[in-house]
Amino acid sequence: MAKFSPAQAKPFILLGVFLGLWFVLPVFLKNFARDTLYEFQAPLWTASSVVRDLQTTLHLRTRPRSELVEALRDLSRENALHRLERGHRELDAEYMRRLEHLLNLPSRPEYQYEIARVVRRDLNAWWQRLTIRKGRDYDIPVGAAVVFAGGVVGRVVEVHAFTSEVELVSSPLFRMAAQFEGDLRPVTYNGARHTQFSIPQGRVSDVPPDLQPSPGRPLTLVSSELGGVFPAGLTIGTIHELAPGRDGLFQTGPVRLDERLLTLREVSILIPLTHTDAAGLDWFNPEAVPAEP
Amino acid sequence: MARQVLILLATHVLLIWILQMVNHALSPWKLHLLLPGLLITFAALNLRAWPALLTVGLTGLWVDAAGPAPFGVFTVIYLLVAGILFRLRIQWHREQRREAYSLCHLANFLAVCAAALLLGGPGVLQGTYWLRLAIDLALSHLILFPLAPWFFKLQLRSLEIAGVDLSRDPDSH
Repeated sequence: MAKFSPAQAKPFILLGVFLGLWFVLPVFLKNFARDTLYEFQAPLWTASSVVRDLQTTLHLRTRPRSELVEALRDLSRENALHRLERGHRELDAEYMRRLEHLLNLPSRPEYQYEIARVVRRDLNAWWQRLTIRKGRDYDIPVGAAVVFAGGVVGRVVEVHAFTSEVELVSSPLFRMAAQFEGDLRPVTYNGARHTQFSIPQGRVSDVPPDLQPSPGRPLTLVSSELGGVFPAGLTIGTIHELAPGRDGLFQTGPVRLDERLLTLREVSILIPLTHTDAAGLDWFNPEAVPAEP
Repeated sequence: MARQVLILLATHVLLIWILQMVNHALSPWKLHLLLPGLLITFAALNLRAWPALLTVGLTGLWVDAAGPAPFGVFTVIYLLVAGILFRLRIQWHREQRREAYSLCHLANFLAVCAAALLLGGPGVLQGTYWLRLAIDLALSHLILFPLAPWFFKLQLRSLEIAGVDLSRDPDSH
């Protein structure tokens, strides 16, 4: 066994000094250091994302013209279908607006959709995050909902100059209010850890005992307006089994999430056009005093 | 000293960037490479205490800034592992490269285990957490076999190009 000389103890002494300084360092200095180092890294991620996009574009350019014509034909058909559906939706929206006016219902929150490219997926055993290519330059608010064609993606947790960080719905740190399709009673959704052998998962709790999925008919978990962040009705995942919880009153069970969450390239951020709800509470700044009616 | 630190830091930033791109590509397979050993070993085994810890500490802050973990966690872990390697390097000679690679594996394992315990929260009692980490760690150590020699050579050549000769530094070994 080698002797422990003072020279060898030097790194540990320096580590002790560093720890001592770290604990007395004001939080704003730590935040400043973190933000600065983050902003130094962000252009590197953006550059790799732009290169990936360029690769895709160049790859698409190698395709034969006949394939392009076929794709255009398919797209024009889909466009026609979407135009038809949009017309129906506008009629429905107008009908709902009239009903709301007649019944004197409070107005529902409206959102602006901001499309953003995914720069980086950071999915590990500790956290599940996405970095997107839009930040303060597009007025992305912290706490905004992020969605894709398959439903809920997550929530914006950090906004930087040109990028934002999104906590994925599968992250163990993610939690939101939810409800079952066709049932207005609120339940709680939590992200959960999953292994390499399973699909992305979450966990639902506070489920009323009368709700039971069957093997051929799983329950669909959708977002609830109660949290104030997500509009109601966005798909979160499906539930194939429920078991009694610890309290014996409610049920709990795993939620199967969409596997496309692991390969996302583009997402939509829902930016609320008004941050306040009918009661005047600002969901993105809960400490703010409700506005006078 | 400043040149050594800056050059090694630049190679670390390059490696972290490449790793982030690889992990982005590996995400559909739910795999994540964890290679902190590469960011600690060379500096801890070849530089004096002060520049070695400065390099490793700044690298730790760089890694901390990119993730949601409490700022400073990876910095402390990296510095602690670097301190252990510094203690072990008396029994190691620069010519014995195999031992350097073994120490790199040891540093990687220690750093990931420390991070797993500190960042696991209630998950440290769950089997799925450890299974996922074990698979990621096994893959990372497999990748380390070809990656460590290349990366250490890259660091050595970068220092040589910048005119830094480690063999002339009597206290660095």
